[in-house]
Amino acid sequence: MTSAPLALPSGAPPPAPPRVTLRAAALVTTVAGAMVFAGLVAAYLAVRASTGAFPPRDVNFDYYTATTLMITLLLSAVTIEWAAYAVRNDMRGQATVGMALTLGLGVAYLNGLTYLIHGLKFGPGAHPYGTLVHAMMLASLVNVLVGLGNLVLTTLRHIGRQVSLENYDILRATAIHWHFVTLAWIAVYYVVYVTK
Amino acid sequence: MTITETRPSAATPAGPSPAPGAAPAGWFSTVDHKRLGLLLVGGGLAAIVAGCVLAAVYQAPGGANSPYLWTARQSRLSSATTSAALVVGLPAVWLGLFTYVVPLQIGATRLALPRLHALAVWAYGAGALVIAAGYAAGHPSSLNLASPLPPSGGRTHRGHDSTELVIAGLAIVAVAVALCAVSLLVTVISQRAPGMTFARLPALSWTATATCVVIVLAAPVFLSGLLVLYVNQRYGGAFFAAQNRGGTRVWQHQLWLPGRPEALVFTAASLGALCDVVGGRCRRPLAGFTVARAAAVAAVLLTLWAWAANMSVLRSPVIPTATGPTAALALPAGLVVLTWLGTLRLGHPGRHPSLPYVGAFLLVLLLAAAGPVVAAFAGVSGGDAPGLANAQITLLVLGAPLLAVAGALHHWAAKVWGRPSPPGLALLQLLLLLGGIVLLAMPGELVALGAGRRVAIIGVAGAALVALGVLLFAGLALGRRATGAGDDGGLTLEWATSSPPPVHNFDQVPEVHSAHPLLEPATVTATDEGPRA
Repeated sequence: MTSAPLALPSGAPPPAPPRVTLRAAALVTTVAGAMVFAGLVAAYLAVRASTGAFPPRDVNFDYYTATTLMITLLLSAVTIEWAAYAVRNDMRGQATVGMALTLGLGVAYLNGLTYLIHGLKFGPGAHPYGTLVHAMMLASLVNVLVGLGNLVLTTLRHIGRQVSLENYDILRATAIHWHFVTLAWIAVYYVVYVTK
Repeated sequence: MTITETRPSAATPAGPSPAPGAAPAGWFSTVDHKRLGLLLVGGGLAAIVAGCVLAAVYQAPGGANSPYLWTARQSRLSSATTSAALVVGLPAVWLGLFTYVVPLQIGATRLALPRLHALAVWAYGAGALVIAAGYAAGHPSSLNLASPLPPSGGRTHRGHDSTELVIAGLAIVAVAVALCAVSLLVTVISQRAPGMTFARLPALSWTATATCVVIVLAAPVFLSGLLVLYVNQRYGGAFFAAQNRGGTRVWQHQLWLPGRPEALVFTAASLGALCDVVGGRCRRPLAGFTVARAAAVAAVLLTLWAWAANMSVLRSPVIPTATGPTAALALPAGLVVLTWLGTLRLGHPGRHPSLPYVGAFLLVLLLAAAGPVVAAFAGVSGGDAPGLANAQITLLVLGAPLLAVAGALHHWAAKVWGRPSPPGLALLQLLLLLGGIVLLAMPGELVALGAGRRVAIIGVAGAALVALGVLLFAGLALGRRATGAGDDGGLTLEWATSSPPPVHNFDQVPEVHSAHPLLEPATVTATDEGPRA
């Protein structure tokens, strides 16, 4: 009989989950999220390919707000990496500032996105273009809400001293999802505002 | 709510530990993969029974002129049948089997993300209830996912609550399915026992992993289609109107069941599960084990080609295998069958009740292949005869994977139900399921070939038989447990622990040195029988 360690030795603390678990979960979930946007973009391209006037003439493009949102998210990608760097190097104060800034930028993005949706001069049922653009905006809204929820939880855990070098993967998983929020908006921006 | 997991006490004696939370309330807070798997299997089987009852009702002789020119009520029931049996039921049973068996096969003591998995399981149930509420509340429109064309001819009726309820329920189910797949994938990635490399994973675990990959890629696309459908429905849009050809394409690729990889993924996954059944019951490694495993995984991944279907599939007699590459999954399936035959010839399979299910699975596949051939000779295409497409969906999307999962549940009965399957019950169930599936598909084929509406009564009988067959699982689930009985099902790691397995699966984490751990000189077990040679 081969000697094997006990899986759950009595009295001992539970074994720490393998480090790969949270990162793998974040990556796989991000792939799933990316497929939602891929489906929406594919639908957009399919409708565009089969429709003559696309986008319809009554459509307005608020480039200023959309571009500002992209820049906001790019900045937040930097600040969350700053927080991650600070946690890796045991600089608690800087990590707190990094997370707070990311949260602030995330809320600013949420606010800007809501403004952008309200500013659309066409309704979701006006035409197929309107249906698709509103669906993409709705998906972006849900995406950032999930990202912000994640970020708030991680920040609270950081404040409670539960995020450190030993369990840095919690922050890394949050950062992976936050980067996905950024990339998803860049994809929507590129499709709706650049290539139209 | 805080979910806690009970840990075993010091020096746990060999043998199964008592399950935590033996009271019914324990089932609500459980994060044990075995209980979560059982919840999924039980819920999925209940949904399939509900789907069969609905199928029997809508096919019963009514006021329509043809079984496939329905009244609005029949159309609603048909839509509900598809949702209950194919979108909710079958995936739940398969995911339940994966949830129960895969962690045991890879030597894991738990799921990697148990709370996420528990959330997904309960969300699955909640989504199913929301769908049921939607169908009960009114007449949902635009929602027959088995229809290749969006049923809505023009602008949708704004604010149709029942339709929105059903869309919301389907979205919740899609999210739950994706979360289950994420949890299982991460479990396979991060919780394998020492020495259990990917190359040593059993066939079921490999196909479960590939199936989860397909689900992680495909379920979110379904979700995006539902999002478009919801926005369109909620605000009275004309996205799926006939003049918007792009909308029709979106329907076909993101919402229509046979246009999505999920339609055939469990049929392909059946190959992996049955590999373990054949190998296990022959008590020897599968002949051409690597080829069989690779072919089964290839079949699963080929289902992704369903997205490549275009409008021409409407004129094809083989609608559920919408594209050439998805039809080509017959090739890896053939390879796997050859390895089964080789194994059966070399091994001593005995008379285990799970083995006839393998034959029944193959028979249904052959019938599914023969139907379109006959129709093609008769000059009938799927676009002309919706009944033909329905028959194909019944055989390929429901029948084959249902028989396979039933066989797999009998194979792992000692693990899952706590006692081996009584051969008589298993045989009776096989006859009911096989006969029911064939009868359920028959009216569609006959109508395509020109039969009248009277043949619909055959479908009613078929649906009733399938429902009865599925209900027989209740006999297994509610029967008395016999600890340790039927503990000799194969060479994979789940058979190295007791039946039913203890709470943490293995009191000692096994160390693996090959793809067939129980052929190794000694393997750590949790039973008091000692190591198995």
